[in-house]
Amino acid sequence: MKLFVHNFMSSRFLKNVTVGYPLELTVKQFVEKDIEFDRENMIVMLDKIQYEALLVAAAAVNQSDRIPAEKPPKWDELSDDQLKQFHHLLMNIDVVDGELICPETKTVFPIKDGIPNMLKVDAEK
Amino acid sequence: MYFNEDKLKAIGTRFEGGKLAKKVHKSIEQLKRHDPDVQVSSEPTKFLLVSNSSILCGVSLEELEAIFLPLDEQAEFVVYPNKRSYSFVQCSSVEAAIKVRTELHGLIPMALKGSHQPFIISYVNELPEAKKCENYRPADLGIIEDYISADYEKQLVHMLINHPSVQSLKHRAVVHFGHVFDYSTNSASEWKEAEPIPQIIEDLIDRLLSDKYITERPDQITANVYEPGHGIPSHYDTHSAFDDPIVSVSLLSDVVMEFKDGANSARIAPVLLKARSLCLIRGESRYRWKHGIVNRKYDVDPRTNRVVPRQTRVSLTLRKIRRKPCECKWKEFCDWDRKGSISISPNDYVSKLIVGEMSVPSSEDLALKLESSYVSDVYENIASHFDETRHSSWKAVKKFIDDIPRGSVLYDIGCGNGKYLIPKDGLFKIGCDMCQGLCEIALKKDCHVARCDALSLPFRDGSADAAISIAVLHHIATFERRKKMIEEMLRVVKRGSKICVTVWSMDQSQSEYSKMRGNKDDVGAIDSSSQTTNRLKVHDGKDFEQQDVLVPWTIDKQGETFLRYYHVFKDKEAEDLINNVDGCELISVEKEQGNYIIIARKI
Repeated sequence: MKLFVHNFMSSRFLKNVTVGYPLELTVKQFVEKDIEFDRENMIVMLDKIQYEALLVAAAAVNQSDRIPAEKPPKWDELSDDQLKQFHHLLMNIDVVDGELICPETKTVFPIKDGIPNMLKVDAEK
Repeated sequence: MYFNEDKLKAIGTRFEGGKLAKKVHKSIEQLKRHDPDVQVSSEPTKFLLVSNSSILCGVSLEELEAIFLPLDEQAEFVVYPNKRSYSFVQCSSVEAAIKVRTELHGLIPMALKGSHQPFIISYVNELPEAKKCENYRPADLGIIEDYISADYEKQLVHMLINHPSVQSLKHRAVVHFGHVFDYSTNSASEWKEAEPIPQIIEDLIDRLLSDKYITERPDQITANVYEPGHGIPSHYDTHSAFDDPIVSVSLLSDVVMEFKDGANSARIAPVLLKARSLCLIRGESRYRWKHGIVNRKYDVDPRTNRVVPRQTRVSLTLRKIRRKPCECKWKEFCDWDRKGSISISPNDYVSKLIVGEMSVPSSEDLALKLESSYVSDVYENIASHFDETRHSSWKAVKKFIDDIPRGSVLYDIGCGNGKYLIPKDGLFKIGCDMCQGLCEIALKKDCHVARCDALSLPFRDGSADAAISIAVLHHIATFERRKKMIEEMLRVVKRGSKICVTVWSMDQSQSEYSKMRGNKDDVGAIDSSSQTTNRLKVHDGKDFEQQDVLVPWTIDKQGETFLRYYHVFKDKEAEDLINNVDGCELISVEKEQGNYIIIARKI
């Protein structure tokens, strides 16, 4: 699971959960792959993401130092090198083994072999 | 069929020269490939290989006889393979063979009705060796050859043919003992006492019991007299009517009985029933397979491919009337009303478990159970085969995706093998599927996937610019749940965003699927109970009989069949569903090859 996917996920579907975002993330194992960097693409993606969740993801892989603690005011004013840090976090890092946890109910959803299992029935077992 | 309209030649035309030589070459190549033991002879012999002369080319044995017998009245079509385009003729002498070949080689005979292909004739040294049975038999079927003696056969036939109460059915004569099978209901509910079972049949029953082929005395015996050319349509002996097994004894003539898989009537197993043999139709062969005898005057022995003419045949069928509910494990093929309306004790724990099991679900709980057994579990089993067969995209879906601006976020709900996730079209795509196997396949293709339920999407509200769901909604078993799935898709997209949802249509007349299934039985011709019921039915024909069905997925010809639950959509049903969802505006419903492509907007 790429970290950018984490940015879109939520446990809102669970009973009595009002926001369910961002999901807490624990990472037991991850791999890094070099995905081609495309400046325009990256800027479009950063427009779509929620910064608070990205900070959660960065912390989960101990790479918080790659990005600023505050959301930059304008993405297109960033240099390629700065954008590449975001690209690395969002696109290159692939979580193989870990957990996603609902911030409200603490329901645990396992990530196994790169696939998060968000099935309610499995989580409630 | 070997048929090309452009190359169509009028019947009566004769091929010569280079064109004929080419066809001879092709004919011999085919022989080498399929029957390598047969050698072509440069000298005349009395055995002829005749190409373009089989049932595969639309040429019947009767047509062949009409063409060949005037030239050699003792010519015999000894080998007439079902799966080849040629057959073999044995002439009475070498001279007769020369005459036949001179007359017919290269000719499209005038007598042909369906075919426009010339006969291509070569001399061969011998006929093909009898081949080992390539055909499969339905599981559990028992055939015991020479079960009764010629003497017993004679006595039995004498008794039956002279029996005072032989009644004539269309093309068949029939007599019942013990009880009369009521053809108007095809069920066990209305049994009438019939002639007492004669001692000679009681003796046979004693033997069957002592040989342990049966455990209880049959109480419904039917004898049929078949004239050559007559058969019986493909049918099940209804589960609810009779116990297991159905016992049948063949008298006087060999015949080929065809067994058809109830989940796939194109899967046919021809089985030779020799005169004086015993046939035990039990277990899977009884509960899942249909059986019948084709109307024709000859059979092709499935073991040798040799033509066997039929004689008058008498069959004796021994059955035990079922008096308790059918509990066979082929419940999808069972006609028994497992909802318990037929005298099942309400205190019986087992019967409670099976109540409503095979009915169209009426509650959330039952829907979940059904989807779990007949959707989720099935996809886990067929995932890799499913992946091999899913590549093409629907035009309307492709257009929907092409119209989404670059850089948008797209969710694919029920992404399967990821076929819509792969293309690099500048979209940020995330797929999800309930099936672990399919998630793994999509992940290997570098797709972004999560495993989830389509009714509980793991995405934040309003986070995508569009969503698609291809061929998923029809696996959801109740209206409320289908509505919930649309609501859930709307929840995760932004206001103003569009969703595209496709489902199977009940009307499959325009579909590739229908063409693919063109060789299957038409539904309804035989099965009188084919009306819309509250029970799930195994779909087999070309057209859907009812909206809630179990559709077979066969991995290969020999392989296992899995049944997937579908709710196929009627005309206007998609519109009705969308109109029932708050905050949803219908944009269009298009029909493409047996699918409805629904496009709607979140308002």
